[in-house]
Amino acid sequence: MNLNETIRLLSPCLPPEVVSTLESVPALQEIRLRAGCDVLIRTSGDPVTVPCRTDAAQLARIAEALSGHSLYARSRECAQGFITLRGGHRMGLCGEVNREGGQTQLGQLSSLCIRIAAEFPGCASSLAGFAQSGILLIGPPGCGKTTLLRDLARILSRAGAQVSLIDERGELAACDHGQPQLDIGCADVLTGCPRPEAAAWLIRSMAPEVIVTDELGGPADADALLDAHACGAQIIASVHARSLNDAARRAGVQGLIARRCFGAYAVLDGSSPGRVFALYDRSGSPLPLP
Amino acid sequence: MIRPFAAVCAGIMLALAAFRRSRELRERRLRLARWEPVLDHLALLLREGAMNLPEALCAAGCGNGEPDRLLQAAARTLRDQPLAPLDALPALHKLPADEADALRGLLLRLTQGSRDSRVQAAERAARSFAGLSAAAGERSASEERMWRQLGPVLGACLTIWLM
Repeated sequence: MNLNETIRLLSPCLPPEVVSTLESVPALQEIRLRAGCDVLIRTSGDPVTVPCRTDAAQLARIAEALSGHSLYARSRECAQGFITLRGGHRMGLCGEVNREGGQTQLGQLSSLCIRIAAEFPGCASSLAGFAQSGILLIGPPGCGKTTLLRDLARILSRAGAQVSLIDERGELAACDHGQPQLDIGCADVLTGCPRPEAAAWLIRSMAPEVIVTDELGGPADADALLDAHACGAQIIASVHARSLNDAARRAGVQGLIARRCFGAYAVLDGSSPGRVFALYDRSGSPLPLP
Repeated sequence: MIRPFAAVCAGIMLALAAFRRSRELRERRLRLARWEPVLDHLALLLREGAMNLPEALCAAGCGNGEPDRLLQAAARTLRDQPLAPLDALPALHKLPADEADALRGLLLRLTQGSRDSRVQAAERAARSFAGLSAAAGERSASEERMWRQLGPVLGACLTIWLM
């Protein structure tokens, strides 16, 4: 989805002052609406402030409209703090959180943050050769791991591999009505399912050659992916860490690294999105950068 | 010559007016009776949560009745003007006040709040329409018959009297 399409998609749901500003800014990145404050638009250049104040009721209406009037049905996503919009964009939600009976529900909204999705086709082409035998992307938040994972899924699936994505939070493929909003090639996507359950599900139902998943967390994730690997699926995943040693200490990947489930490890540099600054083989020996 | 012709015309018009009143009562009874299954279906779809609100409104109002058309109009408004308030839907102005009020409340509550509150709004509206339908049924059963029979009789009486 290009910028014009994005603006056309968002326009009916935003105040007219914001829409007229959107049409004149370069490379839109983010729109922030806060109750009682002016609207802030972040672009590739300087941020733009739009003198348009919204209250909590307006924010609720805007959120409702942007979600295509589906907020009521997406309470689980809302409880995670964001929902995925058409086009793969993300709407972050902030406000009063109510916790009742172990359930988190978002009550009155106080801020919305609409983050515009950007795709970089081909950004992972240098890693595709290593990814065929599984790869773990290691890096701090915001260094482009998800973008690389998405591109690896696209490249491998286009090359003929049976690729399945576990998209627990709807970030990888951003499916809307069953259709991925971001280019992941011809892959199967299981959205919204916890990773341990999803891995077993995919092995049972889709016979994947490659499983792609984002941000490994607890030991249950590692156990499920170990099982999937034992069933013959290669694993392409990412984890938050600064180095391979840091990653090896994390419960979500400790077992996977110890059992040498990944054919390679790519460490990403936080200073520049998508830049790989170290590459290791299955045993942890450094490899030359591609 | 003009006098008998005018008398016959007046008689016919009175009879037609009575028939029209009878038809209105019948249509209202049928319309009110349609709301309950439509809103029950809507509540079910909202509880399932597999559709967004416009889709659920369209799926619930999939027939040709007036309630169906109104829900489809509401769905269209939500798609075309997502920020427009649904309780100001023009189609509401054509309805009798009691029906329009019940619908206005429903449409307002359908566009905000949690899933439970929306489901409850649809269920409550279904109950209130069931009540309206029962009341209209009782009223129309007697009035409808009365106007249908009284129309030709009054028309004939008026014709004779004028002649």
